[in-house]
Amino acid sequence: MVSLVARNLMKCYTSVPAVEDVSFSLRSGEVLGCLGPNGSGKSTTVRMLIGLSDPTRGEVLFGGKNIRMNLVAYRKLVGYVPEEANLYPFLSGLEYLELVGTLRGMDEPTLRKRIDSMLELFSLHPHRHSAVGSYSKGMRQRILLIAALLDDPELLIFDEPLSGLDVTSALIVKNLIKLLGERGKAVFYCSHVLEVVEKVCSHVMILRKGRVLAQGSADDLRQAAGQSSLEHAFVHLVEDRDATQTARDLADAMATA
Amino acid sequence: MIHGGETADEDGLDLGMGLLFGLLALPGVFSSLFLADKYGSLFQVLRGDLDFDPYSASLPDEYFFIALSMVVTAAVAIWKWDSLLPDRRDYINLAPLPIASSSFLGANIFALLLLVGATAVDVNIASIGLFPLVVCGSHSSLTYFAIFLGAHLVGVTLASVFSFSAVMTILCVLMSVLPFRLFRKCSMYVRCILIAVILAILATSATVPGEIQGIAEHTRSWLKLLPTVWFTSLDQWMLGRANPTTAMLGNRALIATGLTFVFAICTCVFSYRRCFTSSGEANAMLPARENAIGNWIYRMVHRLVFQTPFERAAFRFTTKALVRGESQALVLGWFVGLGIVISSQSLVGSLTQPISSMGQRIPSAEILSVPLTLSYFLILGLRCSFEVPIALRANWLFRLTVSPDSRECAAFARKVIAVFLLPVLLLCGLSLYASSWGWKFTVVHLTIVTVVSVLFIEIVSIQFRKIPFTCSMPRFKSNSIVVIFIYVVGFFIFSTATSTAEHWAFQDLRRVLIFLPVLGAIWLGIKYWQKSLTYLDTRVIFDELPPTVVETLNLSTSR
Ligand SMILES: Nc1ncnc2c1ncn2[C@@H]1O[C@H](COP(=O)(O)OP(=O)(O)O)[C@@H](O)[C@H]1O
Ligand SMILES: [Mg+2]
Repeated sequence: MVSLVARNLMKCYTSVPAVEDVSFSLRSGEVLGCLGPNGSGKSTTVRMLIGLSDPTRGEVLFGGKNIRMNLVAYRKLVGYVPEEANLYPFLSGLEYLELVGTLRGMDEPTLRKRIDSMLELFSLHPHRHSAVGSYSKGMRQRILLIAALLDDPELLIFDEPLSGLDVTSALIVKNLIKLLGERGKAVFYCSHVLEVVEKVCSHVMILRKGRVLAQGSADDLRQAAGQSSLEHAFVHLVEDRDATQTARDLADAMATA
Repeated sequence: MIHGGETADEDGLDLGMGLLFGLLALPGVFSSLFLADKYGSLFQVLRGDLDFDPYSASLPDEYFFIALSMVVTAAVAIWKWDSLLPDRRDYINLAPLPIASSSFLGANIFALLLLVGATAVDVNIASIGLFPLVVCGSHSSLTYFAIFLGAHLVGVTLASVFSFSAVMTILCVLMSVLPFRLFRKCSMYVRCILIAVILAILATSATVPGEIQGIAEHTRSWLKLLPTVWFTSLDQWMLGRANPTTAMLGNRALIATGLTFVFAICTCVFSYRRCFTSSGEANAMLPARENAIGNWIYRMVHRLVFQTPFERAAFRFTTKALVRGESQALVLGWFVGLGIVISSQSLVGSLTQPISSMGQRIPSAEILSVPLTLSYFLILGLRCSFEVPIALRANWLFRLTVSPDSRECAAFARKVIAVFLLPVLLLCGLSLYASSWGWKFTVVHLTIVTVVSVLFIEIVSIQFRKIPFTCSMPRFKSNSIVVIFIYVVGFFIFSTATSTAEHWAFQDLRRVLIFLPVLGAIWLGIKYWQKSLTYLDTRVIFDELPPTVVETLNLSTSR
């Protein structure tokens, strides 16, 4: 049983905070969806959760202790899929995964076996000896996913894991995330795509301009907003402008002399 | 070519301009120092010689500088091989824009001309500044000096232009003749061959200059085919020291330069269209293969040297980046090449020297210096290549898995350098000595070389606190010149001084004991230095994004 708690997280890059007063808790078996439009501070929050950047204020607790106390032991229990698939282009997919596994201190036979089967399952096996630099975006994304799952971590943090994936892979990943929750992992899942969050997450947190707008189990949110689906609740909460009207204005602006 | 700074952000494959220019000027500085030494003794001998003519006496050195100029310029062209012509990234950036491709072509050629000009100036600046001064020092006449300076300047500059154009022509012809995939495949081989060729050209400067004056007698000499000979002849012709044959060869130099230059531009224009339209489709990277022998070697080295997971992972990463990262391989290759050239020069020099009755039993200082020189440049080359970044944006992986308090990096760097160095040393040492000397000298010499190398490795890695290739290049600061100077002086201490001392000690092996206190003192000094470093000096550092990117982000958010 693990628990991840964020307390009053705040991050300032400039005078305007990118994230302000974000608090939540996440336990084993829960899938917490973090939902918000572009620039709402999802990735910033994730980077603080993983310890890649320090919060300006607030703290992240894992098992009751600040993650800063023992960052290495904490990260050994975490799998992380970053927003952008920046991999070493000169390594092959297989070599990259071996690098990840070795760095995490996995023993070699297990590592080999897992890499093999996961490459197979993500249909990357035929490409395992090609340089990552020649991979398409979706292939790199799948390598990232494998790298995060490789060490069987207790806590998984996904930042837009579906970007660039084709329909089949996206379906697999969506089902996988749901399953991971059922198997007792704690999952933090960031996305700007509402349908997915609605399908896979047991809990939802909605961010806007770096602040938490609403938080709770998916059902609670729907009821609280008095809407039939999460989409309507989301639009109701986040969007303060009319999408159809904005589209029309855009089309007009293109034609002005 | 056109994208300039952006490439650095993309792959971290570009070197900082400062270090690049420093590296390029380095051979000039080295050879000028060698030369000062040589001319000093030359003048002592010649002081009584009244009809000494500096113009003709300087011919071997002139030849060397011309060869150096050609070699370094060609090395730059080989290094920049992939970015001389527009590549896939340019295509992706530029093709959608509504600009005529002829203006890209113009910009590309202009950038190429700038690159040639800057390289020619940088490579030759040390020799242009120093060489005429050294040679004409004893003559008070200004015109005498000016003529020499002019001839030298024209000779080395044209040689630069010629060799750059030649490499460019080879590139463009290959590019337009071969299918793109095949071109990518042979590129690396062609570049290796070209590197071998330029090293060979440099090596000719040990023997060829002596033959030039007598070149008229051999009508069908292969020497007449050497571009270096043409340009040296051109220089002699401008100095008014030419015979009909050298005058003809000098003329050939002018014609060849003009022709290759024009030809390079023509082929560039021709291949431009083709590569610009085809490169958009091709896949830039080559597939790697499973390598059983490589895996076995890795496993052995892991078991013997690298114990922690961090070290094992970092070792795999480092070796692969060294072999596959172009800038890394070329920086290392550049230093190793310099080491091979210098040590082969001393080898050739010692072989041609008359053997004194006394020195026969004891290896000369020149021969002793060979493994020292190789080791010095290998260590320095590895250390410098560690500074060259590769794919900075992918560093989050190391940031995420390596403890920020980790202090393993210096030890790791030492181990990597040692792993690369020791087999090379053993091989070259054993093959050089075991055959012609007794085991006594061989063992003593190899021990000394190893100890001195270990000390040098300690020194260069003392403040190393990053994972190789994961930080952007240090900015070129004014103290970089001091650093380059220290490396030059360090070479003389490491190689020349040590081998001279060894030669002296070998006359009576008991003298070797003197090495003990000296090396011990250096060891203690290093340990003291290491102790004086604070926690913050040794903690691992990362830098994920190049500085410019972070700045732009700040700008865009500050509304
Ligand atoms: N490194 C950075 N420097 C400055 N501002 C940043 C940086 N990273 C993110 N921001 C700003 O923080 C805000 C939140 O960004 P981000 O967390 O990436 O949003 P999301 O992932 O939800 O799209 C944005 O306004 C963005 O411009
Ligand atoms: Mg984001």
